[in-house]
Amino acid sequence: MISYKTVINGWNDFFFAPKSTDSIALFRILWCSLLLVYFLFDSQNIQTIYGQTGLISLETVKVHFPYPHLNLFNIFGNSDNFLYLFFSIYGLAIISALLGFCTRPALIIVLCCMVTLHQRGIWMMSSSETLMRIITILLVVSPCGHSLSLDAKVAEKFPAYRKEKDWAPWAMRLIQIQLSVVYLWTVWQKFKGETWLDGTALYYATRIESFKNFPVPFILDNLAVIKLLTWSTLIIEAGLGLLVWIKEFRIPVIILGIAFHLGIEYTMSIPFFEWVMMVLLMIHITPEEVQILKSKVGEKWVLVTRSRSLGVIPPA
Amino acid sequence: MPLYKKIFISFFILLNFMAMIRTHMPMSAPFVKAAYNPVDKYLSFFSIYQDWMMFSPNPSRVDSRLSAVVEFSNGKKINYEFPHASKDFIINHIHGEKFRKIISESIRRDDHHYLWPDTALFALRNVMKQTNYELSPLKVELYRHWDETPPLEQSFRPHSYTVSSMQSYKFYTHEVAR
Repeated sequence: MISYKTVINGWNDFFFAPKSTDSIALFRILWCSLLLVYFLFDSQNIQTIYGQTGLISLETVKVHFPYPHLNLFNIFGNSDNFLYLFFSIYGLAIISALLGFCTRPALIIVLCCMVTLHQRGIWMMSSSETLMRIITILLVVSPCGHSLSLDAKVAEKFPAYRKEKDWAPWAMRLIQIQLSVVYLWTVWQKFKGETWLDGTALYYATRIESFKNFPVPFILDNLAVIKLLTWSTLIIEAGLGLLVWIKEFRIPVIILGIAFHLGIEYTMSIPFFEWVMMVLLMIHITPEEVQILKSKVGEKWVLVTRSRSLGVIPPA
Repeated sequence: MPLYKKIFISFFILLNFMAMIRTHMPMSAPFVKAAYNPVDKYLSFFSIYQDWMMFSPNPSRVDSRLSAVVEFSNGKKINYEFPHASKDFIINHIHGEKFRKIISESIRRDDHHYLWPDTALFALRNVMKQTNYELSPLKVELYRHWDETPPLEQSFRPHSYTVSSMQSYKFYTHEVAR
C-alpha cells in the first residue's frame, strides 16, 4: 500500500523540487527557432489563407465557431493593413522570445498571434499546429527566460531584474508528459486498426501521392520489410513514450527517436510534424548536459576568438 | 514556494492532465461532462483539443484533389487547380499541406457543404486575376478528384508508382450573382 504522504512527497519531488532552468531555456531556443522557420514559411499564406481573399472567409469561421475563443481577427478584422502589422508583430515577438528578451511578454504575444492564425484557418490545422499551441502555452508559464537569454544578461548588470536560476520544473514536466502522451495515444489508436496489426499500414501510408517525399524503392517495395517497419513503428513510438523516463535508456531512446523522425521526414511529406517531435525530444536533456554543452561551446568560442586575434583564423 | 501557489499550480497541472485524457473519457456521462466543463472552456479558448490520430486507426487509402471550372458569358471555360501537397521546393510544403488537409478532410465531405460557396469564390477570384478581370463569369463548378490505393490482395503498387488519372465528380455549382 502507498501512503498518502508518499504520494504527496512524490508529487512535490517530481513537480516542485528546484532544478536549474538551463534545460527549459535551451528548449525555448530550439522551440522558438522552429516557430521562426514555420512563421517564415507561413508568411506566404497571408493572402491565400488568412486575408480577406483567403480560401475560407472570416464570416464562415465566425458562424461555425461561435464559442468563446482567442481570435484577434474577430476584434480587429483581417484587412491587409492589419494583417501585415499583425505578422510584423508576430515575427518580432518570436525573435524576441528566441533571444530571451522580455521573454514572457514576447511568448504571450507569440501565443495570441499563433492561436489567432490557427483559429482563422481552423480546417487546415493538423497535429503539429495543435502541439505548437499546447507547448507554447506551457512555455509561457515556465521560467524559460531565466537563463541563456538577454534577460539573464541584463540581470547580471542590474540586480533588480535578477531572477532565480533554480526553479520548480512543473512546466517542463508537463511538456515531457505531453510528449509521452502523444506517442502513447497514437500507439493506442493504431492498435484499433487492422492494418497496423497485420503490418500493411506503412504500405498504404506510403502510396498516397500527397504524402510522398523522396523515393525509397528497394525498402518500400518489399512487403516483408514493410511489415517489419510497420511493427517497428509501434514499438519505437511506445518506447519513445515510456523508456525515455528511464535514466539508462533516455539518451539511446532520444537518438533512436531522432533517427526515426528523420527517416519519416525523408520518406514522407508531413511538413513540420517530425521537426516538432524532434525538438520536443530535447526537453528530456538534463541541466547537467546543458552545462556540459555550454562549457564546450564556451571553450570553442574562446579558442576561435584567440585564434582570430593571433591571426591564425582570418576574421569572418 | 508558498503553499497557496503550489496548490494553484497543482490545479493547473490537473487541468492539463484532464485535457490530455479527454478523448478517452465517456463524455456522455453527466458527471464526466460536468467535471470537464472548465476544462472544455480552456481547450476551446486556445483550440487545443487533442486526439493524436496520426495515420490511425488505419492510414487513409484515398488521395484527394480539388479543381474548379469557371464558365464565362462568352462560353469560355477556364480550369483552376487548387494548391495541393507536392514534392516541390520545401517552402511550398506547408502551403500545400494546409490545402491537402482542408480538401481531404473537410471540403471533400458533404457534411462540410457550408465551405463550398467560399471555395468556389476563391477559385473565381484566382481565375478572374488570370484573365485581368476582362470576362464576365456565369458560374463556378467544383470537382473533387480522388485515387484509392487498391487493397494489397488485389495488386501491389510500387513506391515509385505515379497516379496518371484520378476519378472525378462534380459536387457543387455556384451561380455568380450579376
